[in-house]
Order: sequence, then structure tokens, then C-alpha cells
Amino acid sequence: MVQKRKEKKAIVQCSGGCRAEALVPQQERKKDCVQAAADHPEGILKCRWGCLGLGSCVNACRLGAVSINRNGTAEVDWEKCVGCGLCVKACPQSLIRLTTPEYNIQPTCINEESGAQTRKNCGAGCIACGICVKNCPVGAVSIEREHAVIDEEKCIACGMCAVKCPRGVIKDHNGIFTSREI
Amino acid sequence: MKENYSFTVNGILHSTSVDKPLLRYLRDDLHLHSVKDGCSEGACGTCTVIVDGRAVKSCVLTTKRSAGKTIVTAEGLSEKEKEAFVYAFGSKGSVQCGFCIPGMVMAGKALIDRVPDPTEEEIKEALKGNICRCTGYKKIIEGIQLAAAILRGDERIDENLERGDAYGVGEHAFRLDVREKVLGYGEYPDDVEMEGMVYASAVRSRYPRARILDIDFEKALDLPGVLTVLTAQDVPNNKVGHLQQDWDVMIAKGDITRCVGDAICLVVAENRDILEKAKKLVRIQYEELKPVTSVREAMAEDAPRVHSKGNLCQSRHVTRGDVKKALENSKYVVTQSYRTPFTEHAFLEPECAVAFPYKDGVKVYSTDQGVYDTRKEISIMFGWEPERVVVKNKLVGGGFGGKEDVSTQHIAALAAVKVNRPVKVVFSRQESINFHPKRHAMEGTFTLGCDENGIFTGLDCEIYLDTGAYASLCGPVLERACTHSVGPYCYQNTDIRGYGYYTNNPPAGAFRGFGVCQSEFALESNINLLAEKVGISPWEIRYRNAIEPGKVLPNGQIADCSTALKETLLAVRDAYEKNPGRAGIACAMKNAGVGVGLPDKGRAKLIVHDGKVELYSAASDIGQGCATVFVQMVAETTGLGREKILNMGSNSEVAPDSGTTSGSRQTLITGEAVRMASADLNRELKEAGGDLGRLEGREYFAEFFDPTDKLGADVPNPKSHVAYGFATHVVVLDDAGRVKEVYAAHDSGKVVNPISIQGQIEGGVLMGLGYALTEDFPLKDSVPQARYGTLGLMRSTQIPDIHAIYVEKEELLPFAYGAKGIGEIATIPTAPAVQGAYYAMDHQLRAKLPMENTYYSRKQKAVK
Repeated sequence: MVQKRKEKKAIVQCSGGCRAEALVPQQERKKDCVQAAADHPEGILKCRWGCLGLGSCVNACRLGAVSINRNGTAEVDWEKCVGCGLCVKACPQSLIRLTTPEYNIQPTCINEESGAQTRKNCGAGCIACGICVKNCPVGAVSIEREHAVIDEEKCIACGMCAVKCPRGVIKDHNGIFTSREI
Repeated sequence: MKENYSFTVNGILHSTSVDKPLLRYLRDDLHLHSVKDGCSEGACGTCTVIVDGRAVKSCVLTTKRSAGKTIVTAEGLSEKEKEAFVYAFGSKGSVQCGFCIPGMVMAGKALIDRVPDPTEEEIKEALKGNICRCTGYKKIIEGIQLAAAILRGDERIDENLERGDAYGVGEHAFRLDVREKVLGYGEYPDDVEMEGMVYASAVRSRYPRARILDIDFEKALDLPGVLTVLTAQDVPNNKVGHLQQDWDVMIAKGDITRCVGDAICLVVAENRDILEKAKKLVRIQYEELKPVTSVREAMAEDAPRVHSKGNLCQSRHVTRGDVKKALENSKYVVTQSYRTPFTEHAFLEPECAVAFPYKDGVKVYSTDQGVYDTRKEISIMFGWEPERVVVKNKLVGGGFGGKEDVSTQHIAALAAVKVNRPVKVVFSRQESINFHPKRHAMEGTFTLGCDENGIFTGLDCEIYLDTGAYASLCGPVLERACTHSVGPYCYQNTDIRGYGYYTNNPPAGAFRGFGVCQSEFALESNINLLAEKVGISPWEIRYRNAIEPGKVLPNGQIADCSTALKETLLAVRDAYEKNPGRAGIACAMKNAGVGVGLPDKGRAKLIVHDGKVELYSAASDIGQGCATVFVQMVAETTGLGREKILNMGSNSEVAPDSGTTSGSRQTLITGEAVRMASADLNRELKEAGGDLGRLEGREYFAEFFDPTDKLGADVPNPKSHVAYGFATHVVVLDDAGRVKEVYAAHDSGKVVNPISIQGQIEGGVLMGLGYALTEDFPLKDSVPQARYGTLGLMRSTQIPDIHAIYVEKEELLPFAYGAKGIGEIATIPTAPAVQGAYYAMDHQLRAKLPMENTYYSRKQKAVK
């Protein structure tokens, strides 16, 4: 039997958007993340890692798979995404990475501040509480640099971490264990 | 106002205001019992259902999060899907114990719905979250491929196969239990619901070794819905145990616990929720004591005594010839020490029993490896005549040796008698891991010698087993470890000393291989070192020493006519030699039948009733398929089809005792009893002109017993066992050190069910690979650290290509159509063969399991 090549999908590792405390109000940001980042070297969000929501990735995508959702963060439609990686390159925050679709359970925050600071910075940030680590049945989740990281080598996508996450940071891209929207 | 959560299950809209795991809602409220509870923590996949088209573990999802969703369980498959999966899984041999199967079916369906023609890789990926401990996944993958083909219309269902008109020995027999297991309506004890049934669960020790100062359960008793709380005082005789009664039903106030699995009191409540609340209200005061954590500590003169008689539980000394002289005169000698870990059986079905008052005693629905063993232990606890206890097996969701001892049955019986109602006891997964006996951890030093041609001269070895808190089957396991440490070869000088020590670790007992996995790992590894010294290949040294019919085994037994070790070696020779530097090889032998002078009897009764033959024989089918094998024996002997033969199951009230499912014995020992009874039936059937109706009401009983000699019997050639199975495994690595292929050649005599034996071999090999590479059972101060998902059980994405090969000889034993057992041996030679393959690759001897510095251990480390 012919074995198909594994398809890749892009995933955005931030769900902050309107829930992230801003330094620069939305309307003052230029229409491009790279430009905006250059314009505001002091930062745009209180969280240095967050999605700026100006759509450099949207512009980079040739298939219309990336959009800015109503929360103000980038989101990838896996139906359209072919895993080409253009959005990954376009994001100045390095927030987008490629995965394979069987890993539908994904943390959506990579901030490196302490939990207490994150609470102040963003309503959708990982506070490194470790509940996901404790509940993962296969030991696939760890806290690295103050946020949850899933080792895909071990992950069985059971969804336990997503269900237990008190901040709703870990999402089910299939929209079953959590809302799909990030 | 309370929120309501509405969702569709199998096409019907349901609504609840209670937020709880979807698994509990489906099982407890909707009684959809195909949704199995294997761990309730997301690790095993037995509760997989389809939610909005995706395979999802229902223990993870909650009713609240299910709102608005569409859920399908095995009960909700279309007729076409049901028939496709039943036929495909039966035809391919995908079903063994069956507990993982409905979850596999749902994971398979979710995939097929999206990808009608899935590749093998896609199926493996789709099953990654579903553990199967029996099959090695291969046959499940094939089953899903065939189901997909049927659903596409590329393949057709052959209805004759399930009907089984041709069901004799050697036929492609469709297992008896396929349909009920695939569709999930077959009952395991946890699926039993009875009028007025209540629940019981034990509060267990927080510490492996602690004195119980006080047990305060007043608050628990005050909780509405709690019926009673029982302690050691309430147990007529507080000791149980499979062979040695050293196991306290509950640890009494003032006594000292022996492991974290120890029960201290037993709470009985109206339902699960109240039970859990009540357990939390029990206050126990402990005086924590330092545990005995290893054999070394247990041996120390000033060691605390785990049991009053001391820490040495069992010892054996097996000796023959003059090993000292033989080794002195040997051209080459190798001495090496080895260490193997505890291993968890990890059967998919956690222990469960339902007991209720019955006649002048109690009846127990059980999941075990011998209903008469369970009956005996319970009757000892009550101080009753055994007949007052009736034990009936429901489906058994895997055992592998771990369900030989009582676990839930006796406490369910105790509670049922006390509260005079049906009582269900079901273990949580962690309780199961902490409680039931494991494979013994071993430390041993082996010295093996040979002459200049590589012909073995003698073996001297010392074996230490950690039997943990209780004896369980320490005696016989230690004995098999010793008697089989010699391997399937031909030399006459041995001195084998074995010791089993009590510690405060979880108990150890029977586990597939029964001590032989440990000792043959050591021996076979030593053989490779000797081959190197002699300058011949690991294959060659084994072939030169291999036992043959008529030659004398190291224990003195003359190898019988069926012995086919050399044939297994020849069967894998090419595979071995084609992969220089990447292949490892190992042989094994394993007794079939308990042997060693014990009254190991098979019994069967046939009754002609309503125009069918009813087979009564209490022999537990724990998934390996013996219930089907027995019906095949009847079919072979009488020429009747499957539809005329009913296996009435394992029930101590109506079926004669046919011994424990242990020692790879059921196919041979019970199989022969069934054949004998069938021959009597057949004689009368012929006289009746083949008209079964004329035999209505007739009974045919047979008992099979082939005596053996006890260990150390003073005869020149003692017969230790009725039969031995033999095997050779070759493991091939790829350049990265991943196991690429396993060739497993087996001599199990006549093959009764070809599909089943392949499944036994593939599953056994995968278990052996886990033992070699990934499975561990870490303890911290005697407390298990592993959860089900971190035991290191191999998943579908990790499996190599396993080639199951069986060699069938013309010369066979005169029992059970020449069949010998396969159950245990399939898992024995794999680990040393893996060791040999790594040794061939990098010349490092890995003398400890699981092996270090492998592709697999590096993967584990990388993520830690």
C-alpha cells in the first residue's frame, strides 16, 4: 500500500488578542505586524510574546487559510492550510509553528513571564500552574520557560490537559474538548 | 436555575443537569456498556466514542462540554457497520480479551468515515491513543483494513465463517466471543447491574510500612447512604492467599501494613459518589515505619520482618551432576550478573467483582484465572465449606497471570454477606497497579561453561526474586525460574539456587513467563558471550546445543517425540544471517501444564440438551481463546459444527474444576479432557446414526491426568512436565537502533487455531519488546510511581513487523490432538533476542532491563 506523506498544519500559539493588555491602542497600530513592531520598539502589548493581530500572516498566506478572529488573534483554518510555512516565516513574534493534524490539542501561549505577571498582562495567558502536567496521563506535558509545552512524541491527544486547564490556554483544534476559536 | 446539557447519543437527544465525565453518563445513566472504563484518566482508550466525527475518550470529555454535540457509541453503529466490524475482526483474529475492542472499533470507524481507504500508517496513527495488551495491534490493524474494504464494497462478508460448520482442529475458526466483544454487549463484571446493588471500596494504606494506630470511620458511617464500614474484626478469618495464606484481608488496628495496596477498612455505600465521599471521611492514624525496599535490605540480619516468620519467603535448590568439576574443566566460562524489573500486567480491564447472597452462601461474578481458586480463597476467608461459595466468570478482560489471586472478589463477598445485598467492587486503575502481584524483579548471577566446540558443560546460578509484600505464587514462580534457567539445551551439570524474599514493595506473583522471562534473559545473554569466545555465531552455538527428541534435558527429563526446537532455529536462520550486526537471537522453552508431581487435572462434562452439546469445564478464558479451542476439540472429535456446540463457561456450581489458567496448560490439559469426553459422545452418536436428538439428556464426563515427578524425585529421568513448548526469536534492528522486525518461530505442537496462535505470538512478542525496551515499574521507597500511561506500554505507532511462524511436526504428543501451549512462551525469548541484537550492533552488554542506551531509552530521556 502506498503510504501518504504526512500533511502539516500551521498553529498559532497565542489566544490573547483583545484579552491582552495593550501598550499601544489597537487603532494606533499600522496595518502590518512587522512595521508596527518597528514603529513601537517599546512594545505593543504588555506581553512581549503575544499576537499583534495585524495580519502579516494573513497577507503571507496564499490560500486564505489565515484570518484574524473576533478576539483579534490570528487563526488558521486547517481545512485550507497545506502546511507550506509562509505564515510561520511572516510572523515577527515567531508565534506560528507547524504540526501534524493528529496533534489537535495545542497550548496557545508561549509567554515567558512569571504566572503572577502573566495574570496582569493577559486574560488568556499560561500561568505555568502545572495542572496540565499533573493531569497528563502519559507525561507529555511540561512547563518550560513559564508555559506549558506538549511533547508530541509522547502526546496521545486525549484532551485531558485542555479540559483541565483553568485558563483555557490549551485548545482542541477539533473544537470538541474546548471551543475551536483561539 | 440549573443549567441543562443536551446532546445526541446514537440518534436520540438526551439532557442532563449533572456535569460529570461523559463516560460515567454513558455507562451509568444510559447503560451503554460498550463504553469501557479502563483507566478513567485518558490513557487507555477503552472508552473511545465518536463525537462530531472524531474519536474521543469519553472519560476526558464531560457532559457539560458535550452540550450540542453528536455522540456515537458501538451500540449506535449502523447494521452494515456492525456486520462489517464483527466479520472483519473475527476473520482477522483482532479480538482476544476484548476489553479494548469497542474503543478500537470506534477509533477505526472515525478514521474510515474520513478516509475510506486508510493506509496502515494512518490506522496506526488513529489507534495511537488506544492500548491493546493482547494482540500486538497487528490483527486489529488488519481488522480495520478489512472492515474498511467491506464498507467500501471491495470485500464481502463470508457468512459461513462465523457459522462455523467446519470448526475442527486447524480450521480458520471464528472465535466464539467475537460478536459480543466487538459490539460491546458481552458482560464483564463491571457491566453487571442488579436490583438493589450497592458499592464497596477499601480505604488503603498511605504508607508501605506503618503501624495502624487508629481507624476512625464514625463520620463516614454518619453520611447518608453509607451502609457499613468493615474492618479486620469483621472478617471471620483475616487471611487469604493463592497458595500460602499470608495476605491480610484488612490490616487490623495495631498491626503493621506491608505495602501501599493494603486495605484497612471497607466502606459500603448506595452509590459510587457517596462511596468516594465516605472514603475521604475515614481518618486513619499511622505510625510511619521505614520500609524494606529491596531484597538486599530484606536479607540484612537486622532487617524488619515483613512477616513474622522472617523475610525469606521461598527457596529452591536444583542440582544435577557436578557443576564445580564441569566448570573447572570447561574451555570457556562466562560469569555475569543480570537485573530485571517488576512488570505490571496492565490488562485493560481493572479488577471487578459483583457478589450477592445465594442459597446458603454467596455467589460471585468474577474476572479471574480460575473460579475454583477464587472459591477456595473466599471460603478460607469465611471458614466455610467451599461449596457455599459459587464463582462464575464473566468475560475476563485480560489476566496474563495478574488475576490468579483474589483482589475484589473476597471483599465483595464479605460485604454482600454483611449487608445482605448485591455488592460491586471495582478497582480504580491506580488501585489495580498498587494491589495486584507483578512479575518478580530479579537479580541473578549466571555462570555458564562450554568446551572448545561450544558444547555447554554446566550452569551455576543464583537467583534472587523480590516477591514484595505477599507470597502470591512466589514458590512456583521461583521454581520455574530455577528449572528453566538452563534453557532448552542438553547438558547435565547444574547447581541452581533460588531465593524469594519478602519486601514492602507491591506483591509479585504470576506473570506470563512465570519466572522464566527473567532467568532465560540471563542465560541467553550469557550464551552470546560464550559463542564469541568460541568463535562461532550465536545461531550456531544454539543449534549445536539444541535439545532433540530422545536427548536428555538438563533437568533429566527425556525430550519427547514432539520436540522441535531445531526446527524453530532453522525457520529463522535466514532472517538471522541476512542481517549481520543488526540481528539478535534467543531460544526458550516453557512447560505446558503445571507438572512437578502436582495433581494437575483437566476435567470436562458434555451434556446433550435441546439438540445441542453443552460443554461444562471451569477453565478461564482470559482472552487467549481457550473457550473456542475446546469447542474446536468437540467439533474435531464429533464432526459437529459450531452451532451445535455451546461452551457454558466457567462456573463452579455447574462446571467441573479444570484448574487454573496458568502454566500454558488449558489447551493441552483441559483440551485433552474435552477430547476424551467428546470421543465418548462420538461413540454413542455413531451408534445413534448421527442423530444428536436421540442422545438428549446424556452426559459424558472425562478427567485427564498425566502424572509427573516432583522436583528432585529420585529417578534417573524425572518427568517434570507433560510437555514443553519451544521457540526461537530473531530481532532485527534498523540503523537507528529501532526494532524493525521480529521473527518468532514456535513449536507448540499441533496448531488448533491458526489465527489465534498468530495473535498469541504477536502479542507475546510485543510484550517481550516492552519488557526489553520501554516498560518499567519505578518505586520510590516501595511506592509505585507509574500511572497506566507512563508504564511504557508499546503503542500502535511503535510496533515493528512481527512474523509469527509456527512449525508443526509429524510426531506429536498423544494428547489434545498434539497441541501444546503457546500462552507464555511467546513472550520469553524476545528480550534476550533484543539484547543480542544491540550487542551485535555496538558490542555493549546490556545486562539490565529495560535496557539502557537504546533508541527507546534515548527518546524517553530526551523529553524528561
